[in-house]
Amino acid sequence: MIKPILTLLIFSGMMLPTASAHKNSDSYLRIDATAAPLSVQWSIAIRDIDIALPLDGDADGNVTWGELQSQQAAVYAWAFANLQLQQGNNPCSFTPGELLVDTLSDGEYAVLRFPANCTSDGDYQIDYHLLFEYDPNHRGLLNLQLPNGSQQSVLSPTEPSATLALSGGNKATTAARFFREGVWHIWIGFDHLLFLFTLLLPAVLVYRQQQWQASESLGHSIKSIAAIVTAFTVAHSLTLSAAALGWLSLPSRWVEAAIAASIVVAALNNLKPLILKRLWLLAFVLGLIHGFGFAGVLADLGLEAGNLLLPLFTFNLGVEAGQLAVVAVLMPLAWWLRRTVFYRRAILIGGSILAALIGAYWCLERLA
Amino acid sequence: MPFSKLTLSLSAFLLCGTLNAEPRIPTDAGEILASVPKNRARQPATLTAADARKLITQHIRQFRLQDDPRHLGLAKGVLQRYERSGGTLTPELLLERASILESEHAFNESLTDLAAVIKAQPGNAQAWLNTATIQRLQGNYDQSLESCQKVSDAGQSSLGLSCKLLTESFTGNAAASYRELSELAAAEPLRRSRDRNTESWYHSMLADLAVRLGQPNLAEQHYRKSIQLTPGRSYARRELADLLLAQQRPEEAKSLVSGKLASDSFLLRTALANKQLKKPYSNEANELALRYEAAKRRGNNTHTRDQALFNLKLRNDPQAALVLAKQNWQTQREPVDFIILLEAAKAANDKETIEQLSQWKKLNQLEDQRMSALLGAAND
Repeated sequence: MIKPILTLLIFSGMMLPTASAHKNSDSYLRIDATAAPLSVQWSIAIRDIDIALPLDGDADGNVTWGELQSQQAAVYAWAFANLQLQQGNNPCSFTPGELLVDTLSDGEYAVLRFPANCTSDGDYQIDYHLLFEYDPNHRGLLNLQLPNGSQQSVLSPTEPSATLALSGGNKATTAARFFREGVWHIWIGFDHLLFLFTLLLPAVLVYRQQQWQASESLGHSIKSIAAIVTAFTVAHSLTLSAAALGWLSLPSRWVEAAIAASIVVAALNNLKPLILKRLWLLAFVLGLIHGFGFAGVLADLGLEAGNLLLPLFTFNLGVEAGQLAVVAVLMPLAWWLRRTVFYRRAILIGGSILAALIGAYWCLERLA
Repeated sequence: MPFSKLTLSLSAFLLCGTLNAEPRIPTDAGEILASVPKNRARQPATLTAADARKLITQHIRQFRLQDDPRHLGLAKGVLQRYERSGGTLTPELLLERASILESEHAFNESLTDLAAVIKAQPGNAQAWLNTATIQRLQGNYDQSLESCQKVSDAGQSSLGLSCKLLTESFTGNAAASYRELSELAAAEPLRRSRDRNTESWYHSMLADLAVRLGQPNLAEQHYRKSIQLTPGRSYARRELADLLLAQQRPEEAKSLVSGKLASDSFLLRTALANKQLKKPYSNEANELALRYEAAKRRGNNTHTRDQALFNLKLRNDPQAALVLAKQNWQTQREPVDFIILLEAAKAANDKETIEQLSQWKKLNQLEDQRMSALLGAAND
């Protein structure tokens, strides 16, 4: 017969690809992991289900609500057989739940709503293979709701698995987050700032004839400030890293007390300068202790083993940035005020006494 | 009108997952939810090459008749099952795969498969015809003509002639091609027994030609005939809707494309019509943005031309439109692709692209009244 061949030839050969009136096959998998047990809502197109599971009981070409409902158990069994969820490498268990219907742009979907019980903490892993054997163009559109936001993933035959970290986010957001935390924690780290400024107060002065006098050399002062800040920064970066990476560990009670004590030391040194030329060395030695203090904060922000370096690095950067910001504001002010009696008496002497008292108080409080 | 990306990604899921209202429990057991093929052939355990071919052909035909891309996925599924059970790809199956690829706009991959078929069967008229079609679509008119000749050489002279006339209509012979193709369509000895699909195809092809020749009334007649013959095919509806919109007849355009299960293409035209009617179109526009976003996430690239149009005419973002139109131009070069790129380039003041397009038109002696109007009299 020529006609069908002609039809096929023309049809296949000369038809231009048209836009679709329908769309490709997708299922929508929403997992709410903000509470336990997890709530799952999985929407699967009814015509897609029929590909794997005959739903049209009376073979009239239509699937009715009654026909779908009567197959509820089979639909759930089929769905569960094609989805695995794990948390922390332990499988979560599913229990069949409700069956509803939803109208989407390309027709009616069966909506499976059911709980998932996970037994351990950690990252989530999803393995999905619904319909792939029938339709390699099918995609599972996953949306996972976590306490700190939601994550999305597209599951396909070439990427049927997704690992979704609890802390979530990609490198850029992680970096930004930890940087911000670093800045914030130095700004609220009064003990750190107090120590640093106590040490920096005399930087715009020189000790001559048993008293503090205004420094005439801006260059000298700047070098001094730079040396102290740098030494402090390097020191606390070292110990912060060592502690965060797990190489060194000190009991936090002692660390906190020692930090308070360092303020006292710095303050006393202002009042009776035993260390003048190598103030940066003092900053370094005492800075080592301060680093341990930050490590605790960093741990509280939620680090994952094996994913430490980026958060550590950017947190540190944040701390430095925060520090520099404050120094950049206050030191010019100090330089400007250095000749005044107000600065040399009230701020330096008075301030150092106050700092020593506060430091001592904290020290005792933290040891108690 | 800027759409916040954050809002989009947040709403993408909310809307994708639960469009309209919340999921419901129907009250009537007899409520019809979906129509499915009667007595669907359940996947047999093993497939012969002939079985596979038959199933795939059916799916491809369904795709073309209903414009339902799910059938392409199912066709691929059959192929996958066949290969996994150890089957080797015969030239016939390769040809089917080429058709699937072509339908998914993977034109170069399709050409590769077609070349393999031709290598195994140099006299395969279908393979040559498909090759000619893709080459024409990609703007390789000389190669297309050669392939058309091969169709004739393979014994299908009338198809070869149609192929040749269609290609030549793009290279300076539009009016003559129209005449001869009309005669061919009319003189076809099997005309009376020719089925609706073929008849419909002829009409839509002649309609396209008439549009390029600047004969909108003639084009409209052909499109309407095509729609009448095959109402499920969206091609003619879409093209006619565009024609009517260009003629400032938005109400008529809208009636062609409105419907409950609107495809992305139709939704776009509905929005454009509403805009022309000075009615609100933000619902449609938001919906479209979500759908394009969803398509992008799942790796679907067949919307690029429409997306360019969307950005140009609905979002007033000529830069975004230009990027998309250029991307589209890399995969296909039909007159509508040329036009959307030209419109975007003009709106974005991209003189270099305008010049390139102008050169391309001259080089190929393209005749298209819309192109000429857009480029201005100086370029004819």
